[in-house]
Amino acid sequence: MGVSAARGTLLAMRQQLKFIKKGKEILEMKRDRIAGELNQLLPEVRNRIVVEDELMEAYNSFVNALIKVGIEEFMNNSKVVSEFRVRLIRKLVMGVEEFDIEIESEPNVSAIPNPVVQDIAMKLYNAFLKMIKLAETENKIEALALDLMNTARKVNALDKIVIPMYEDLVRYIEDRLMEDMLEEFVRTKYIVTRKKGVKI
Amino acid sequence: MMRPDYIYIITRAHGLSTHLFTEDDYKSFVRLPDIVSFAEAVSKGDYIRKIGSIPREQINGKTLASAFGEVYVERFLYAIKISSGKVKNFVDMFVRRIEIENIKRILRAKFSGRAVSEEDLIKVPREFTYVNIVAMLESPTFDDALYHLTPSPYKEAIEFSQYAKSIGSPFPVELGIETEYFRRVVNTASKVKKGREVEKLLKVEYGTKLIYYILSIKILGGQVIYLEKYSDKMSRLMLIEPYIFNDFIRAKEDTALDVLNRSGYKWIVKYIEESVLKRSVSDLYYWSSKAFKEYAESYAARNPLNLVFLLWYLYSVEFEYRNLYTIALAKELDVKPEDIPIL
Repeated sequence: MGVSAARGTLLAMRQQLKFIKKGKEILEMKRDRIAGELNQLLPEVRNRIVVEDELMEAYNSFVNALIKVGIEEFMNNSKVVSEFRVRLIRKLVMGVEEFDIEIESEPNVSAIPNPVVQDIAMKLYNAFLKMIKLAETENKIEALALDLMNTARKVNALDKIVIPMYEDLVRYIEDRLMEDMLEEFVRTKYIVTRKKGVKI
Repeated sequence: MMRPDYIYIITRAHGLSTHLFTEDDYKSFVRLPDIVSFAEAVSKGDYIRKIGSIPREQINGKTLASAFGEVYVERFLYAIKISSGKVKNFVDMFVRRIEIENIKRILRAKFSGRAVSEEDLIKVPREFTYVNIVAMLESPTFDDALYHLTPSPYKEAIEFSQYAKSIGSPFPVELGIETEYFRRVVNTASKVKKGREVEKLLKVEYGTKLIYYILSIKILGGQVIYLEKYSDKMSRLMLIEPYIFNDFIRAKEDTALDVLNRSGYKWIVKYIEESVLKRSVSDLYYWSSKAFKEYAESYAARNPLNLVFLLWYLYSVEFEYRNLYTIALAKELDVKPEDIPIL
């Protein structure tokens, strides 16, 4: 690093090192927090198989009901149901982009007049809600995992490369300054001695 | 001594019933490998013209259902055509169930403000409808659509609209329309000579439907208590005393079956008991339909020379439509033969 070994540079380098160390601490905290959050979210993903089974069960019930009451009955009963609307809310948590799915309007499945169709609609809707929750969690995990990887890489880079480099630099400047000081001291001592007429 | 027009229509009903598919036919249909072979197998008798006109590559559940639906409507209209006098009035009123289905479809769409067109309805000639269907279709709101029921026999159903709005479902209005329909059809049956058996079978049908509706809503956790207000009116169309019907409305689904054991619907309990215990609404639908079909069959078999045989024929037309529709869909969806629910 092409820096001049001056006292001012030493102060600036020390300050930068302090700042980098603080940054590393913060990144470590972030990394631990993300890891903690991932640990919390991972069990929810393990639930995927249960949700998938539930969805398959709802689908099988749907096929079973469909052949009993017919497509037309499903079609015209579905007209009673209000629109199902969701909204994606973008959030930045510790610099990680997350999306929450907010249900804006729920479909009024209980309004369906045919009980067979209503029953299936309820089963499918409940399974669908769980799938939405799962998708939300999986999306968060993906974003967190990516950020964890980046953060860990940054922490490692700071820990193994940047901080040692700055520490070496500070040490180098300190040594240089010390050498300069010693040289100055010796020179001063020599001049003073010579002025006093002492032969060295 | 029976009147000649009675003898004629009953004889025709016996003749027409031979056009219907038998249980053995259904058993062979469900074993067919795919929907095309099913279409070929079913393409005989009344269906040959309708199904024969469908190009092979266009054979699917929808096109077959449409063909079956057309035959179903034609058979009903033919029954009106061959009947006369009070029997004609009765058959004519009975066939209005197609109009009821169309009204329900319109009201469902209007209730939630969805679009509905003539394409969504069962095609039925204008002279067989009481309600101005076109005006109903064009109505901007649910209330406006209901207004078009005012000049029709189903106007009494309008009073159910408050409940419909309070529970957020058009179901009470649909029930009101069906109740009014059954009241009318029972009334026309009562005017037919020796129409008591016909009346009874109609009451069995209405009761079976109502039992299914009420039990299903109970299973799904909905409210039916508002029906108490109409229990007198409804129980008159059923084989049940009003106080027993009220007990049935108030009871929980499992104890409701005990209440049924005290009514004229005791015979249905053995069919639906398991579905209620399993809390399966679709099984309940299937088994209550099956119960009614078997009841109607045995009732008609005991009264082969009564007008009830004609009614049984009309029900059989409906059951045939449902069975063929079920098989067509099942074949399209590749459902295993043993899982196809034939009535």
